Amino acid sequence: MNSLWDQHECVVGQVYTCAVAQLRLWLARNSQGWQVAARHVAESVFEPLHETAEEPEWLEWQRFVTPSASSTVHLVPVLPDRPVVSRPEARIEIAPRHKGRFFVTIPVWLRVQVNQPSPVTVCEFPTRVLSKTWFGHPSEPGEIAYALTTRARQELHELTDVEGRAICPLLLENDTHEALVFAQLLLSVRHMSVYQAEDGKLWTNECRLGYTGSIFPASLTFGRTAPEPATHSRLVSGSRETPAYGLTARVIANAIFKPQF
Amino acid sequence: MKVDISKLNEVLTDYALPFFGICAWLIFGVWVSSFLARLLYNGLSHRLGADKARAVSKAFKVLLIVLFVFSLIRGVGVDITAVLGAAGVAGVAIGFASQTSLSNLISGLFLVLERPFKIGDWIEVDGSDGYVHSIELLSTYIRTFDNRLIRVPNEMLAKSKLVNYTHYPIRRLDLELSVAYKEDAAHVMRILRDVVIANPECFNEPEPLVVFKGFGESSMQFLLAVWVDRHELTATRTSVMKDIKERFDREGIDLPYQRMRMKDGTGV
Repeated sequence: MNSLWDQHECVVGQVYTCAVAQLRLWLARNSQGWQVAARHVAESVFEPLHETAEEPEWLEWQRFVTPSASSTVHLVPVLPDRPVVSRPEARIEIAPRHKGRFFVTIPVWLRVQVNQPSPVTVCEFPTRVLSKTWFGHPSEPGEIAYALTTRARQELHELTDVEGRAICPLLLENDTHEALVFAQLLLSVRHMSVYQAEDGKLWTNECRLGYTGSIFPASLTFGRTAPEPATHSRLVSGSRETPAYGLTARVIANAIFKPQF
Repeated sequence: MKVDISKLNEVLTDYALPFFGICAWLIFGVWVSSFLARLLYNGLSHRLGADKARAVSKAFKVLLIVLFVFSLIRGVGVDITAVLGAAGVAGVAIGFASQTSLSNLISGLFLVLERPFKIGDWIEVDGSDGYVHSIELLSTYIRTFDNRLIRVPNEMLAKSKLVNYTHYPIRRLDLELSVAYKEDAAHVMRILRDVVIANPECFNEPEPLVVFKGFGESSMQFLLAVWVDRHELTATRTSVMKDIKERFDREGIDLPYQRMRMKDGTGV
């Protein structure tokens, strides 16, 4: 089990720190709440929350007033606050009347949460700095999203180096008589949950996309539980929004292919 | 048509309606109209948007006040047809006198229907730019960036060229740069591309453009065009300019500046 995402008991006045990918986080508990400071660096490192005596001078603390009963802090992996546009490194084509299963990894955000008396989100930080992108034509409705390049692995054993990332099983079904080019795809991650499997890997719900042609909306369905490969998993964070099936399917259908402009 | 004052006095006396009673009724009417208009605005603002809801609720309020006035006139026993006739004559006279106001009013209605902008948009009209503060029946108020309030008559908005900077969610940020002739143009273009790719606020798509624009008097001219979130335009401009300067300094790329050489009569 990865202790990075566990609960940690914190003593008043003591400073704690952890590293998750490019994020460096400092935490301190005081009598009325928490102080948090964060910074992003180029190097990717993973270190669970631990006590530290070092407190860099440049730290800019933010103060959060929370219920005083909360002496434990929970670092929770959550999915980004915006959709993610996933683009395969290499061109992928799905043959007519065929389907392909891919594993797309999404960098998680770190949510600082206190659980007593009830779960309260203190703050959230991205663990990797992702560039923004626009999904759609500049003068038509579209969406600002995070840009992500994916290897779109098809085999489970190829999923290495996934620390700090949630694996999204993606099933693309091409129900047309033409080849489907998987150029880029908008993943509505706000509708997905995060699960942690027995081996510590993070997973999202399975996402199934049925493509029936460019003039028809693509049907999109999210699995209601953890995906099959995530054995003995537990839910670690729920979706930010309840899936709105009609809306999501329309957005994805409009832009399943890379728009030309 | 004339209102019979003696009859009015007689009615007032007969029914013992004091003058302050009429005033109270009017105040009550205005208050009820405002209250109902506010309820209507709250109900419509989610569906129609703030500006349309405001126009509808204001029109509703005016209508209610007119109805209150008519009910008051009827209540005191005055012949309503006589009053309407007098109002018709007065309306023609007022109409002639208030052509500009009517024009502004009609332009305002068209603006609300056409919706070239909404409250909170950043617009430029007649050389002034700022955020739309409110859209009234006769005029639109713009709050400038240095916190001044400009009243623009709706007629002017309907007639003039209007630029809405925040209509689309994304904007292209154009930066023009001059680089000394001694530098390698291809290397400069590569650096500019690297800088925007490294900046998370610059969009990957639409792709950034780096254009070698031409040969200036004393420098090569480049255009760097990147797409950004409209809300982050100013912050991204600053961060990209800062990144370019830092990278150019590190690479030893010379940004030329104008030099003035002065000679006196002796040639020194």
